[in-house]
Amino acid sequence: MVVVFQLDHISKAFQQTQALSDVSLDIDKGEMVALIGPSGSGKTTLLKLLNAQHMPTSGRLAVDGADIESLSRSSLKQVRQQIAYIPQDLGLVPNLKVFQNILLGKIGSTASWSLIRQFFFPTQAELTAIHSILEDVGIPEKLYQQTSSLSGGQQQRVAVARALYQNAHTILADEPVSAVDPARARSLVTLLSEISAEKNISVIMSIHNTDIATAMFPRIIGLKSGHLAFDTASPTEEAMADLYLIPDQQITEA
Amino acid sequence: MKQVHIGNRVLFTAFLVLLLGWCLFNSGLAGKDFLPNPYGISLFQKFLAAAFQPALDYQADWVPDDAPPFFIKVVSSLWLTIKYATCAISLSLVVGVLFGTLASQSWWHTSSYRQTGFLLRSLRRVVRVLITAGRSIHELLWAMLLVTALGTSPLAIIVALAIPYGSTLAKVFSEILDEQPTHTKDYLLTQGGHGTTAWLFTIVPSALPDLVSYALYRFECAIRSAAILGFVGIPTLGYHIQTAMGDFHLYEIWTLLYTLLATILIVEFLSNRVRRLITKEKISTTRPQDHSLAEITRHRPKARALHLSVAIIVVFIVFAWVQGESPFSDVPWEKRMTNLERFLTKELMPYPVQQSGDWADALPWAGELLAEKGFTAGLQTFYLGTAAIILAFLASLITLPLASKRLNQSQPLEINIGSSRLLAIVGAVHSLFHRLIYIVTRAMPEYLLAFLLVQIFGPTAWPLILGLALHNYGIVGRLGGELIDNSNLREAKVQLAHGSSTMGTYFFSILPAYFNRFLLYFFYRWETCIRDATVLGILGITSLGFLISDASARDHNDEMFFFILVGAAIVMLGDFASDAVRGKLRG
Repeated sequence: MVVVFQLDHISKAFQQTQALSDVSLDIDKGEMVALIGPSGSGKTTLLKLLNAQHMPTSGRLAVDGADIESLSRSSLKQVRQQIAYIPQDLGLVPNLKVFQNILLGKIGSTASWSLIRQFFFPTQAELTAIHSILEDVGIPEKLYQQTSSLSGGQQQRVAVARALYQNAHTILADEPVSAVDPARARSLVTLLSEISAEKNISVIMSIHNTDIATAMFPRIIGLKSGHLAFDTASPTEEAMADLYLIPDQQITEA
Repeated sequence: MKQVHIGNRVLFTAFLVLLLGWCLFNSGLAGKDFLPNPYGISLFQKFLAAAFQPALDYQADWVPDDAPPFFIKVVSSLWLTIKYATCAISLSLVVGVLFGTLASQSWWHTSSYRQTGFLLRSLRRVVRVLITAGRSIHELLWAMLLVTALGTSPLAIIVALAIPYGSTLAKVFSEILDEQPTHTKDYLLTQGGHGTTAWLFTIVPSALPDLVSYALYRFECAIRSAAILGFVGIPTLGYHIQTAMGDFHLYEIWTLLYTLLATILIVEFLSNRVRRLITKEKISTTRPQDHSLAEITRHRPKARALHLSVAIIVVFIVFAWVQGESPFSDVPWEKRMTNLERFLTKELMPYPVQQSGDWADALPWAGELLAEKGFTAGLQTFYLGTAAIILAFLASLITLPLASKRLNQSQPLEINIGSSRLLAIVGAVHSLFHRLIYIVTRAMPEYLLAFLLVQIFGPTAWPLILGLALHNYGIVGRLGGELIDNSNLREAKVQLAHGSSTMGTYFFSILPAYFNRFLLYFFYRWETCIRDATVLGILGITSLGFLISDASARDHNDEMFFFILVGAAIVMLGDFASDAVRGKLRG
């Protein structure tokens, strides 16, 4: 197995807040990983570290074997291009057409003038590439639709298509299913696991729905107060209960 | 003992009423001038009566043989009005887009701002100062300045319009750009995107409908302004209204007024259509047989109407520039430049400095002008503008429940209150009537309204205040109406469902809930009123406009320029105060 992410005693603090403490784990190419834990447990911080949006306060993080602290600006950009990030709000521009939003997947690797040309005068080859990705995510007919006219579930698929167009080896998704009903959430996770298996892409997704996480992900990482609570294929009931066990006082304070 | 509960909103409204009284008192309306004189009233009746018989031919008994038919005169002055407005707005758009981008924070924050630091930050500040300066001088004053400097030429008129319009567009464009959500742009930056590219593909598309909307609205304003520029001597609609009023040809005036009104309404109607074409989702009328790329491409949604509209607008702009007398060719360029140089280096210079060459002599000169008349005229300008906006604001707040479409339908706010058929019809009629008044008063330029009222009632402050107030009444009324018709109004619905009347719901639920929004409109228009009040004095009331036109008539260009600068300073102060208050209200 090829290790994509290596976290070695990683900690991250924001001023007074300790977001992650001493987290060590490896993630292999093609793995499907669910990140679970209560709000504020460090899930988003961990995802942003993997994408090198944040740097660890201490510990060592290697992406594709390279220590991210030692990367030059251009190498960092190259690493980022390998990692697609889907934020919670999906990061789509509502009044652009679907194919234009997908083109933005390559914003980091395409010259600005070329991107402008593709936006207004896409070539047949570019459209074919995007159309074929849209076929993979099941909405080829939406190619020319305005993104805002799509349903929530379809927009999620556009976000996944954009990640695929980026040609990334990893998709990081920050709670992409928290705003949709369980059926749509399952459908998106199924799609991602199919893509992961077919294209050997790692998918790391933070998720609040523990039922979906335990039923559909082969590996589950539990985070609590910035600490690694467990990292297993099937967490025990006690481990799950303990993960979400918060003293009453903390809930009311929150 | 009963407890008294008076909230901030009531206190603020009471303060406005007191301020209104104070401004009216100080505008010289305390004594016999408070009520119109009987002669003015009878003249006004005649003027209104003439509204029912607009002239179809010259009213004068004798017309020169070579005079064009009346109809042709009206049409050609209308075309000239539209032509100047079109040329000016197209030039303003270039300035607005360029300066609006440079002045917006959203762009600077994504550009290489941090790296290039001080130099670019300074550039942004310079641009913002230029924008504020450009806006702070009314187009009529720019026209006076440029006509004096360059001679009466189409180019001077177009530039005079384009400077304040370009600056206003730049200011509003930058605000619209900065109001767009930035999370998608930030997301693309984390994906390694270049700052300006990420900005171009996220902020600009989000802002585009609002940017186009505002540009179209400014075109409508530019037509009003171009009509008014007739008052500096170019034969647009305003010029003919002025001469017809001079000859007391009331029927001709109404023909010209109706022409202007109809034009503004048509432009507004077309603008709304274009706006809708941009925001409306494009739907394909045919369905693809399968999901192949070729088939999807063949049946993709097309925006033919939008593309056609854009093409027509572009052709129209080009036609406006090339049709008729070229803006560039009427006076030799060298002569124009010599004039401009003399104007800038000699005539604008304070008289004592022209004599001695020492700028230290300018200070006592300026101090004397200010103390003698500038200070009083500046205060008068403030009183006029403030009284006008308070009147407009209070009147529109009171009439809004009568005008709102949603409050006057048979099921107000979509809530069934069991109203009878007759009541529903009455509601629809008075709502339509009030909205019509909003539309007509908004469409009429404040300067023109004030001019007509001054001619009828004589030179007191009332005509200026009323002219300004009427125009702004229409604007605030429209903005308020849009707010009510486009908001959810959940609390108001609950109140209605519990048996409250529509009036009660408006005054005890909608008005308190949206008072801050109404205040935003108030301060936004207050700033504009102060700016407009500086020029209204040209019509003969001792405010800054009067001093400016008086100095210009005496050929004292240094004085004229000085008072224009005083006016600009007052407007900038108003601008600054209004921005600060609006920032607080939004926050």
